[in-house]
Amino acid sequence: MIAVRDLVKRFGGQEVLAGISLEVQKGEVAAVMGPSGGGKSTLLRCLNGLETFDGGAVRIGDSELTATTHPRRDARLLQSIRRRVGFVFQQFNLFPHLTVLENLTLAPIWVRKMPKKEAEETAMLYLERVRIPEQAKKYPGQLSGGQQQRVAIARSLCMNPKIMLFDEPTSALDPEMIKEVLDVMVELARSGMTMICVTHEMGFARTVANRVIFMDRGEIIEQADPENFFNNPRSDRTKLFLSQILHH
Amino acid sequence: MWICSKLGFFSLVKKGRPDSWQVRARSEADLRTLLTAAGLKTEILSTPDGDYAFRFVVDTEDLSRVFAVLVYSIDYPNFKSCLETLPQQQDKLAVYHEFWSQMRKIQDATLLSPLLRKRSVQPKIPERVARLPGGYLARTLETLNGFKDKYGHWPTRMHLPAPAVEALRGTPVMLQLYFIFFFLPEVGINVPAFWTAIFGLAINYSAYESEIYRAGLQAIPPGQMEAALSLGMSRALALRRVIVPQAVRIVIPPVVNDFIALFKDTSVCSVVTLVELTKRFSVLSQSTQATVELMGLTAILYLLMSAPLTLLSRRLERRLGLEAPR
Repeated sequence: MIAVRDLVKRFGGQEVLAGISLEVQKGEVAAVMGPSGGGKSTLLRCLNGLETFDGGAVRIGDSELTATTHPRRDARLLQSIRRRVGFVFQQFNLFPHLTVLENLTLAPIWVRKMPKKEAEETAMLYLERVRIPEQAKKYPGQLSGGQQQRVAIARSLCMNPKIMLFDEPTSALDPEMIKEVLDVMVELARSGMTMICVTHEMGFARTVANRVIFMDRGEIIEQADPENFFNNPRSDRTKLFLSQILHH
Repeated sequence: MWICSKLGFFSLVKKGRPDSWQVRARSEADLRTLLTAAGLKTEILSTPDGDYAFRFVVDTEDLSRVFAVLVYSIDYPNFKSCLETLPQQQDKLAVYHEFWSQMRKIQDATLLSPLLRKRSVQPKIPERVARLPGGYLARTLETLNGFKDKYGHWPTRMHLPAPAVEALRGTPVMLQLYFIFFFLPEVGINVPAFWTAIFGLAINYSAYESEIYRAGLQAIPPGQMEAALSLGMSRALALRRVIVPQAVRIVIPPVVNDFIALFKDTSVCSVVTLVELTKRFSVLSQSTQATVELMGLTAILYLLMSAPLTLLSRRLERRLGLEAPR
């Protein structure tokens, strides 16, 4: 479903991704962990073409992004990929000038050319799935952080994506709101969605993920199932990282 | 009709073509004083054998200026004493007296404001018309100029107009008007004063507007564009549905602010011979000495015309503000 081959990304002279190779199968849930600045978010942003890269290739289904992919020249390719790949941001990035319902229906109506009524019905279904149908007429600014993030997830789901990418979806939330967002993600994972989540939530990684990917300094240090990752880490850097987050 | 003014004795006759009038006098100096007061440069003709040896011909437009000067400089005591000393006019005294007392009333109250009001229509039109191309030009310039800083990846040609904006902002609008009105004819492009005012102000303000729109666009977090793109939207669709609607809300107050400034800047258009409200004020105040009163009136007229703009902007802000709290 997703295949990344020797992905290299440089900012200035610095290598943020130093040759990443990775495969994620259909229905798989991968949790990406690691210290900040390790290239986790950048990797995720490369997967849906928000970031260009300097070497290697990313294959999503039957479309391929390469180092020569141009954000404007290859806009159609990028759009076709982004329609299949949902993206949830740390900062939600809801459209503040639109109501929750309008946030959800904007892309289906204008990109999928869905009739407004149908789009709204679909949107309400997803709002029920993230358990906030009663907020449909409100503006994002009137919602709590947790509610906003759930709207953002529902907004992505409205485009009926095959893959969902989560970029630290709970990092900007107050502790009491993290659970409501994680619950939605857990349910999504159980429904068979292919997911890659950059997260610091150990609980989520442990219980929901099929695989944990540990990244540091632009490299994948270790990949393992959660059981082995948390109990028998092989690399020293993984051990150090785990000891740090377990003892804070 | 003959008029006895502080400037001299004049006779006003409709003669020749439908909108052609003759202003005649016995003294050339009187005529010249009148022309100066009215701000006209019309040629003085002379027919030495006639009763009124000197004259100039004006159209209705210029006549209104001459007339304004005359009305404000009418000399009642002198006029009455003139009549009284002429035996053959005695029988008309009562009628003239009635006529001039009416005239005086008009002069004192009603005539003053309609004259100004009629004139004040002029700056309004260029302002209103200039706003349209100003807005469109601004949007174009800003499209070319602003987006690349924010969203990157624009072709090189998009970088070019920035110096154009700089040149337009960095030089006085008066100079730009001079350029259009006095220089362009040298290279074969004749622009009438009215259109010079419209194009000059439109082009000048488009530079300012483009900067405002750019600031508005830059105030939108890049995450908005990324979120829209991530949903599979094209860049154009994202701009149209996500970025620009948010930017417009931000730029309304400064844009209205600029429109009010633009409206007042119409007063510099007098440098290209366009007679607008301020010019009219200066002409009238020179010919009547009622400077303070006229100044107050002119200020009030400007305020009356700019106040609706402010109200409109308040309403717009409130409407758009209600849609998106916070």
